[in-house]
Amino acid sequence: MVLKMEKRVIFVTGATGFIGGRVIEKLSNDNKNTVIAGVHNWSNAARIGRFPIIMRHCDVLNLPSLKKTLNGVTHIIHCAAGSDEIIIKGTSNILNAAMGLKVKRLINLSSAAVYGKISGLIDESVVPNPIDQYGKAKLCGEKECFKYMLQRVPIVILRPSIVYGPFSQKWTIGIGRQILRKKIGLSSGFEGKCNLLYVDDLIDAIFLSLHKEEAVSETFNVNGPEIVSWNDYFRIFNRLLSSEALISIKHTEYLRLMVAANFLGPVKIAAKLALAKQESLIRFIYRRFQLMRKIMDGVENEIKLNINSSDLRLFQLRAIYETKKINRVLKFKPRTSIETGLKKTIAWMKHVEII
Amino acid sequence: MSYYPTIAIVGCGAIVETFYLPSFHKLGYAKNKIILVDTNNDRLHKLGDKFELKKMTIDYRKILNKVDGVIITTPSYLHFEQTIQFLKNGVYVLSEKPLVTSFSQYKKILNLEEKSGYKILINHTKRLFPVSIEIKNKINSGVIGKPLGFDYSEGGQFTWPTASGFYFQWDKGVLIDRGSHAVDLVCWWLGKPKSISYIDDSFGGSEAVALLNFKINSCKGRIKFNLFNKLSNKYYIKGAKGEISGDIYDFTSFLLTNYSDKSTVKITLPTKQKTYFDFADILIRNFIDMISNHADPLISVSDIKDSVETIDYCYRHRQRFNMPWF
Repeated sequence: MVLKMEKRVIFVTGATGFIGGRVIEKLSNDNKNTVIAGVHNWSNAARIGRFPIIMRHCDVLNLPSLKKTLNGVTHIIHCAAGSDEIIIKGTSNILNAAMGLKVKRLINLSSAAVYGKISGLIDESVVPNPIDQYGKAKLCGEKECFKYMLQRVPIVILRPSIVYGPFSQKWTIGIGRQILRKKIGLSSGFEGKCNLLYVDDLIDAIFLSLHKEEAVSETFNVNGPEIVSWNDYFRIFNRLLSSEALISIKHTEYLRLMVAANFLGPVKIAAKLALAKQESLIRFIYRRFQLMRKIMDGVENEIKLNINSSDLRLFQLRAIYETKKINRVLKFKPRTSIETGLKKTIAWMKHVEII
Repeated sequence: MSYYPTIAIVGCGAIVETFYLPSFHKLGYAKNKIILVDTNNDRLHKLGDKFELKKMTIDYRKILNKVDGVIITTPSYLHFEQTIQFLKNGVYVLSEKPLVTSFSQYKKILNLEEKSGYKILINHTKRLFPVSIEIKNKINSGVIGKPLGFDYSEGGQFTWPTASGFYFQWDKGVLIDRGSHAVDLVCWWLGKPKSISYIDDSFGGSEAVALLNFKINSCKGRIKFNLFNKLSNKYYIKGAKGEISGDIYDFTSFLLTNYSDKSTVKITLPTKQKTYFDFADILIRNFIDMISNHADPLISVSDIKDSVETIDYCYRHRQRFNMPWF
């Protein structure tokens, strides 16, 4: 996609993440504009480090340093995500800094998770009602955006659906591993709608939002070209991934999954808390004792491979995120079929030896 | 210790905090004989407070002729220039790997070292591992017969707590970083690789996935690095009579298989070092001995010639992986 000719200084927050990383990859050969990657943790910069780009340390929770970091920036693509604090306070800080800099455009990556547990065709007029923590935090981030829109900060809010592709932990690597380990399969509980959006199509939407005037102060759903069920997604993924048949999950097994999901939730929270409070001690034990390393790896794998309760709810949800508005206003057309997107993704998974 | 040479530490990143300074502390080294140097003043004071060191400066050029030795731990692409400057001022150097980023730099440093009479020690820690030394002995003594195959894979998400991010802000990556160790071991154990083919995923920046195939006489070898995903993290050396294999992070034991009786034994070596960080003690003792008594460095400039030349060849002939998802 060719950007407008004016010289821009584009800053990407969360540049080492799944979506921010792809934005950087796509912008890396853009010779007309200056692209700056905002990096919070240098240890995560291996992906974008492959490109000769400018990187700046970026802490969205530290407003004074953020203002310095963003000095001279004309456009911001805000992809930073993580804890509730990063999503809410981080977005507020970015907006505050952007207003001071009089930026020409700020793209805020929200999520279709803001809609919550609503079925049917969902367009942007539907009142959001998130149920999970992530959706609630994203909605708070949007509310911050609305405040700054009133101050004439040129903001665009995008609500992508299920974004998949290379480097996607949740909807790509996680699902692929679950399929191969036979932890996921066909089930009557997975007949909900799977609104798959290949990451490159989302990047197209971001770039359109970046240069089209009509995008300013608007909120857009972004979705892929095909709506299938989660069962269909697993079926296609399995066909491209494995020569073996996808497992069928019977009702009793589905009930067991639900029980396990409810049990694993608190285990996951406890593990996260322990790691947050005693990270250096845990890492020392992990490095020093082989048996503990095996046990910790085993527990981590088990947690990752099991389906959690919010995913089980999502797999039942019969919601379709309507994209007529973005198609009409920005002439957005998702180009990547699920088959093509997954083929590219699997080629990447093989390359990095995830499978 | 009766004599404490004055030693500057240039670059005060994570390696200094976790590897070098704890070792000086263990040795009971005179605190007024260590000078910390870093362009980041906050970082200097943080380390100064932690290790009770008072001497510090933000400009290494101010202490070029005021120290007996220097430990260089700055970003890799600065090692060469800084080593040259200290050598010219009659200062012994302990450099983090890689000492140089090209073979032409290597030749200049070797030449200067010979002329100056001041020696350089390079931190190729894996050469100090008991396992590495024993494997070299086993190969040399013909225990596994003529080497026929070599495989080394190292992969895992990059977790080094780099404070500056320099790893990812130049055109060389995992090959010169992790590869400086792995390629050095190959050269040390088996000889200089020939018929090299090398591919990586750089688009002008630092590569994160790299694959090196080579031959050394009748031995076919492969080294693979991956900063995105955990690999087997094992090595094996297959010979005509047997093979050696092990975990790349295990510095005390390896497996030795004898094809004739189909036996595999685990060889565990005695060592005082409990963790990787304890190997700093060996390096620092050797470095002090170099300065005080003109001892030879445990890992010298001439020791790393083949690995520097091999890595240089790889970068000059690098090709990119076919990556259809781009």
